[in-house]
Amino acid sequence: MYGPARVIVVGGDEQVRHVATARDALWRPDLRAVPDALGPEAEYLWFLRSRSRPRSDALGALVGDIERTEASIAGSKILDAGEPEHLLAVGVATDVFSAPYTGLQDDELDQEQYDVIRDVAAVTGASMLVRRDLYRGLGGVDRTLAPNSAAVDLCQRARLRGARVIVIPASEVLYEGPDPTPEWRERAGEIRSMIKAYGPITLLWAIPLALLAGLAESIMAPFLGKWPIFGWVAAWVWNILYLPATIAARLQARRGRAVGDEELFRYQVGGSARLRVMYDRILERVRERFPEGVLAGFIDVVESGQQVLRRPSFVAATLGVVAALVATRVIWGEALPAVGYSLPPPESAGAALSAYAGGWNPAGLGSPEVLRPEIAVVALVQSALFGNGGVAVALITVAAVIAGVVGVARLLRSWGVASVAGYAAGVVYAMGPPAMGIGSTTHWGAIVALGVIPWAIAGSVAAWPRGWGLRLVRIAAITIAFGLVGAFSPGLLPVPLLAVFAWTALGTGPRWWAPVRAAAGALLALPLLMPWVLYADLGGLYTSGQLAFWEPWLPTAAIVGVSLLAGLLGSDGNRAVVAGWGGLLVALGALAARSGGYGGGEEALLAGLAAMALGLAAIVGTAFEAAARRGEYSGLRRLAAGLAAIGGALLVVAAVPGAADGRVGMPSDDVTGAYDFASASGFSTGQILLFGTGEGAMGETRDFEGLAYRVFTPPVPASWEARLAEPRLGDDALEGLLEDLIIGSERRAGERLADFGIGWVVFSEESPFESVFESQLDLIPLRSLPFGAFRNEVAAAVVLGDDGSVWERDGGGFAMPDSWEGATVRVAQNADFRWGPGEWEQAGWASLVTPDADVVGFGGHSGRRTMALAAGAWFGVLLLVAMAKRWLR
Amino acid sequence: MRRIILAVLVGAVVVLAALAPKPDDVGEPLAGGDVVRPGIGSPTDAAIWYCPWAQSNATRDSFLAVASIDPALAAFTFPVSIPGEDADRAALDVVGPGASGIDLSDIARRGDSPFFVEFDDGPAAVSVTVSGQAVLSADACVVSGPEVWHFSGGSTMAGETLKLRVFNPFPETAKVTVTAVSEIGVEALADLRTVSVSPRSWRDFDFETLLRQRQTLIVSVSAEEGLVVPAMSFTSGEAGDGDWWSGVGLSSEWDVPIASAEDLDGDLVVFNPGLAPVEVRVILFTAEAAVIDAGSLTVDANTPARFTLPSGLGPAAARIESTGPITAGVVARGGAGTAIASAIPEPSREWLVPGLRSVGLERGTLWILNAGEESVSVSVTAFTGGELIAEKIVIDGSSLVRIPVLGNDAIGYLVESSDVISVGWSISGPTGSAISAASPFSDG
Repeated sequence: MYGPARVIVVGGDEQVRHVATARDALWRPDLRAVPDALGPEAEYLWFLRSRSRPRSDALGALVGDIERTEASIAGSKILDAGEPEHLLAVGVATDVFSAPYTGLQDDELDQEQYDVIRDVAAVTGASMLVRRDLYRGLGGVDRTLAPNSAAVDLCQRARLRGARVIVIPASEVLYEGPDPTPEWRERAGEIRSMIKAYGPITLLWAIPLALLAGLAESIMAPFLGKWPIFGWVAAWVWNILYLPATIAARLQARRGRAVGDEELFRYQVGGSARLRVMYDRILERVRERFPEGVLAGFIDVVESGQQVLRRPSFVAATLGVVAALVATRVIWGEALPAVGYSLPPPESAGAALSAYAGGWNPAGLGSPEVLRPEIAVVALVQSALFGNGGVAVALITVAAVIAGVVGVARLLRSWGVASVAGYAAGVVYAMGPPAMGIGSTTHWGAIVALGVIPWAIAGSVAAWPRGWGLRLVRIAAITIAFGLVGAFSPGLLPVPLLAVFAWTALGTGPRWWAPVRAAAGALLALPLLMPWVLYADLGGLYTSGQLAFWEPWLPTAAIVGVSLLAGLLGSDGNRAVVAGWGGLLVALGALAARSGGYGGGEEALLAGLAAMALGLAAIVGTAFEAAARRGEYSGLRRLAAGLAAIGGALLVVAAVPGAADGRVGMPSDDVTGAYDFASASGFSTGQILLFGTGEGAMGETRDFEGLAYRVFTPPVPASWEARLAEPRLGDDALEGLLEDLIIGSERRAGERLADFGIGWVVFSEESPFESVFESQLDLIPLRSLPFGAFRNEVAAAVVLGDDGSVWERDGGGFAMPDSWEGATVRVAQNADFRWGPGEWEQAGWASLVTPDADVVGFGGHSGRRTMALAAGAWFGVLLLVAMAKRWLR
Repeated sequence: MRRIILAVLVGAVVVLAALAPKPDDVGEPLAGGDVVRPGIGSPTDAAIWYCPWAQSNATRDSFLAVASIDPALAAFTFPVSIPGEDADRAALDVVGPGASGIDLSDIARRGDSPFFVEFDDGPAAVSVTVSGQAVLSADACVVSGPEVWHFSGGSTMAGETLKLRVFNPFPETAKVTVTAVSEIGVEALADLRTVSVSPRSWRDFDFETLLRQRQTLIVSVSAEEGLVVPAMSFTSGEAGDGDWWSGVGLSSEWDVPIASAEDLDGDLVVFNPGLAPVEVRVILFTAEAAVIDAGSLTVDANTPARFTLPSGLGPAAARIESTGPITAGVVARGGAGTAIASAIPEPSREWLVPGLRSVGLERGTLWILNAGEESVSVSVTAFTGGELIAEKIVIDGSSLVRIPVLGNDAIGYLVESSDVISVGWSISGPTGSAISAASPFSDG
């Protein structure tokens, strides 16, 4: 049994010193003075942190084994003082960035599984025995570092001198956590330690990699509720500030080294230890969230090997996800096709958010009308992805399609449909004919909303949890789901409601509160759609746009009918009801999708198709389930179950063409590149006046005697230009110009079009109106293009100075050119007094601004901005509540 | 039971969906109204007049005359054929109904200056009279044109010059093909296929070098891309008079209000561009109300023909009737000079005659042909600088009336008739003679 020869108290103030003296202990201001305070008889120094509680034989074990193994530094096994059966560390590995990695799972029990003396990269500072001469030779502990990184640093420097670092599990030390040291200090210490220890070649690649690994961690961690980005930034800033001192310390550390960097690499783990820990935590959470789902299956594969591959549910789930990836491959592999209403997000996420929050709606000749919430949601995701709009929409699309597949499987599972049938149904839901019908309308938002609908329904119809906390969490989750549906496609909001109501009316089991939960979720989701929901013409939502008239392919309709009947007959009670519920949704959806004769518009079509997709999924799910249970039946039911299986299989096959194109049914991109001629010069040459609905047409159009037309910004308009606002003065003036043109009374159309900032006229389809433009004195036909196009000879720009200079678009505003010598600018957008900054006056239908800043823009609507912020805050609250589920459990 | 109820419920909604009425088809865009092309391509728009021939230099100047029924602003644009150069511009206020005019030298003095005039109201018309040393030529500008312009009356005999001008007033490069037919057949003009004419510019083609020694040369111009306005200029010798005239399309009936005059013997030139021979008949109308059947002849396909009117016939007009579409014009030569004009394809009740005046030693004459059998009541109004001088006359059927322009400051005329008539105008003076058709219009 070893005992302390002398107690030395290190650090603390005058009071600590008095106490130490009173207890016959030495006091030293810092660790540097400790070795000198000891007599020559002391061979080892045992460092313990103030929270360390060593067992009585801990030191004996350390000294005994360190001498036996001829090691220079030895560490103890560290146990949780609160729960001594839980391991905290048994030595540590590090990564190349000097971050420690224990390799232990959270709350891992000590079952002596690590009880073997072994070489490690480092030992923790909680209990560390160091040879005294080595300690003196190394210059002691780096006092600028936090405790854990200081221990790693000391061990690394020792290794460079050829010393062995081992862990001796027989020495047990309890530690009272949690560690009070700020996380960023540890990060900073790791970077400093790395810079001190490695050779120049290693540092050349290790430092950039460390930066990237930290960045990746900063991006991923928020999904786990952590925000390491600030610590990451602080750690690097700290190291920049301390760089001279670090260089000095490095010179000392590497002086007299006996080995190279490869000796340090020997006990390191590959990759980043922090990312590895994060990955472990994500897997853990996924396992919790998807106990039997596809991802859980994936984890099982990782953990249990190929045995899981034999599980049909896993295979079905994997195929479902693969199908979703295939169905969206063009979108994530290239880009969202720019066609119709599917347009890329604005380049600046900030500008998009600002435009949504009471800013200027740039569609057509502009308007202060509120943009759809989809713009804001995409912009938020885009912001999180460092402004990459393409990645944002790709991520959202892929996530939505996978969510649709998994969501349907989950919904049907709650109604007794097994995973295999559920995932098959999910594939039909997300990629079947109705879903492809939605895709063909180019309403990208509806595709995303489709992916969320099953979750809104599942949340509403699932068993009501016990305890108000969990119920609150559930309501928050339902609200978020409804909110996302409404944000991406407001017209689809009633679909999950209708589905829940229909289930309540037809279904089985406890379900009477489901419509209340769904209605509550939908109502609580409405504030998420502010300010749009308060200004939108909700009455006209289902009657605007092209009249709805969906015409099914009759063989498919027949298969659906047969599958439904077979499913009704071939299923047992519960599943038959699910099939009937699906049939009813298909029928109601078809009614809505064909309601053009009653005035139903595009949103009615979308809602109808979404309901049909949902119903079709239920029919397919029950059909496969009936087939799976076929062995339990006999006679007519058995026959019907077989028939249902054939029908279901045919419907799955019908989804293949939809998945094959890789664009979830959307047409191919015919806008990108089509109008490059209008921006080839690299500076603004005005907007395009586009006629027709042929190839290259996009978004909402206005009508001029049956001829569709609209104004947009070349070369490819952003998504915020897809939907036109209500016509205002400028729009009326433009229509007036078209009327003048059609009666042949205008021969200098270019001059008048320039007033609207229109520099180009394009016909996407052949029209007799084209001849009118051919006869103009100031429009030049562009004969080399495959469609009718004319260049305006008169200089045109949205914002034009009175000196003739063009103010180029800059985010949501227009920037002053360097050559600016004028006094006023004319803004060829619908007049609004909030254009500025500077004196404003109305110039006909447009605005005239005397700018007093170098950017002209729309001042914004403060009320709408407040509402948008409130909506964001409400979403944050809902998210926090929804994420509290684990804590409540 | 539950299954049956479900099946019936679903079936009922499916039936409703199947019976949902199909929305009405959206009609063809712009099906409800006519699309009217403005400018040269328009058969109805009379707001831009294109004048390919106008000159102002040391030896000659052009009088640009405008006339309008309603008060209008006439904006002149004179493109400069140097790329990047701004066009010269001028404007004239016309107190409608009335006429006005301006000398080209007051605007630009750079030789050839084709131009176009935009009116902000109308109906209106424009003419150009080029006068100077040994030249007097005049013609009406054009407001619309055929797809293929035909020019009859040209020749390239010794000492004669024949110049085709192709004016492109539009901002797009035009591509034109020029073809020619003469008494020896279809001429080979491979170099004039798909010839580019730069925007807001013009090109001249000298036929006296391209096709020498042709007595009857018909030149046709068609635009393959873009729009052009061609004009032809003829000079009978180095010091001789000449004329410029606009092209016309095809018709099976032509009126020539000025076929011959006191000092001018006329030749009627026709051209049959069709694939089959046509029968052409010529009827002459003299000032003495005599009607002379000048005979008829067969004009083969793609062939020109020339009717030489009797020498010393005196003032006479002509009507040319054909069994197929042809083009027609008149060439008048004599002691008074040389004058050429295209024939009039369609008589009208209302005519504007801008630029008809008597100034200096030049004397203008208004020619009115009533080729119909019934007499017509015609109101002739002279536009002077400040007032209108109206005169009403009755013209018997099948007769020609000439009204000389006296020194009353008239710079244009308005001719309105109770039935369709054909109107032309001539100017003669010591430096030559010019004839032109007037500009028909319809006032609503």
